[in-house]
Amino acid sequence: MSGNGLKIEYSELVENANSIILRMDMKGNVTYFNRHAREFFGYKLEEILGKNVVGTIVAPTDTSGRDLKAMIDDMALHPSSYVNNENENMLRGGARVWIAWTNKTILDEDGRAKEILCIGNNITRLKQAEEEILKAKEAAESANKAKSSFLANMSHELRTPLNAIIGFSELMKEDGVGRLNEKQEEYIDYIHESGKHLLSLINDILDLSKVESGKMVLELGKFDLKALLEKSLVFVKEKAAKHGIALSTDIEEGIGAVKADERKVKQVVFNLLSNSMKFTPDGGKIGINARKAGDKEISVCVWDTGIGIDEKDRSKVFSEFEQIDSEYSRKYAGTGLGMPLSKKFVELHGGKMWFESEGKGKGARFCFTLPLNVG
Amino acid sequence: MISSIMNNKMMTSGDKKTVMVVEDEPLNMRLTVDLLEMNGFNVLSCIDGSSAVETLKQAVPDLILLDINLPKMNGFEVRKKIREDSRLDKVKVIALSASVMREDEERVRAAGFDDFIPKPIDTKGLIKKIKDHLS
Repeated sequence: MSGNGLKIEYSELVENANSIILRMDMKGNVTYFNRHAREFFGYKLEEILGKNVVGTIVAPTDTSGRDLKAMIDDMALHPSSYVNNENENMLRGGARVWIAWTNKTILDEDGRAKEILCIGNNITRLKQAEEEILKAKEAAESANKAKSSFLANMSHELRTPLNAIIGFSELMKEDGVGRLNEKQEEYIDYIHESGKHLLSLINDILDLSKVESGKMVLELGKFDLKALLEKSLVFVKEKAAKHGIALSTDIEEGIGAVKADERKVKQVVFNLLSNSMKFTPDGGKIGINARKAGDKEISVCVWDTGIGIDEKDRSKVFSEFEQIDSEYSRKYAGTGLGMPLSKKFVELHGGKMWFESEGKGKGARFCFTLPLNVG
Repeated sequence: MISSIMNNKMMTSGDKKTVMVVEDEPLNMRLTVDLLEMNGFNVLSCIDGSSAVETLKQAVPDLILLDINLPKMNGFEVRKKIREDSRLDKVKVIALSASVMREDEERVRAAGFDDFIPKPIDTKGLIKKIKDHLS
């Protein structure tokens, strides 16, 4: 094919390509405008040739107030800064669009910049989607802030009346108040227990929302895990004795100091023990096992001979506000947030939590791992 | 002035300690006051920050239970006023607050309170803490 033939073929290619292709001189006057550009912007060739891009396909300022005339002037001075450039453009009717441009400077025989070859693709929809995502992100962040401050206020407002409910029901049982009859004492206990229950709910909700918003910070320190596990049993000792439940521990030799958030680990162990207490009928057994799992982890399990977990209830165990209905489920024993919260606390440490149960009536075993070196 | 404070101290019988309670919520005030009296303390009560500051010009309690969210002058401002008065150097000041987030407690500790007690209070725990601070 002759050189001329090639040239014609290339100009047809440029003319008919489905991209915006134009050239302008260093002042911004249009010297070429392909078919797609004409259709896209809405100009006939004779209407655009020789016209400046500013005022035709480029508005002097874009919708955000950016000075586009200055941008075009700067492009002539510093073309290398605009090789890949995204900016707002304007259709003939005034509608704004976003175009991703690649701009190439064309030199004359003396090596001076003569023209700029601009190839553009319409990215308006992409830009809109990007803006929508940004807006949605901002809305989500502000909703999250509103939620946190709502929860903080709720916590404060609920604590004030709770102070009176819990406090006065404690005072009723002081000697100075006078003797209560059996029924009165029972009712006061119910008020007190219910107040305490409400308080645990508030605390658990606050903790859960902190974990979910990523604001829960672990307070890491070294402590003796063996001592913590043994001490935890003391909390349930009285209740266990009342229900004829035998408690035991099996802690591997050499389990001692770990680095973790002591308060949270305590809360996890306490939740697991309370859970076992709740679902273990009188005369059963509850135990804690702890052993090293490899060199990097410790695993702790709380097991019981309780009612176990039915296949259909397995998914409920770590769900919020789910409590498995059962005749053994002792009233006011939990908030329905203890398990999901415990799992999250363990995961914050980089550990795992799971349970094993061979089914209804066969007891359950809740385990978690703690890395030996957190943080 | 000094002598009237001495008198005030001497009027309080024997080794009974005096606790000032600053609390704007009437039921919470009643609870804390009754609890303290049942446990043998003399009680001075003030329903807002500025009346507490006024009362402290006349009397020097052994310990102050100071709510944080108070009308007129909040607990932090009252704490500052107490610090500015050298007569009150030895008075223990405990914050009693329903704002219990970790940041709240940190702010209270940073402001130089001797202790932070979250609401709702544990009545036995509160008495034990007060006794510990006064021993």
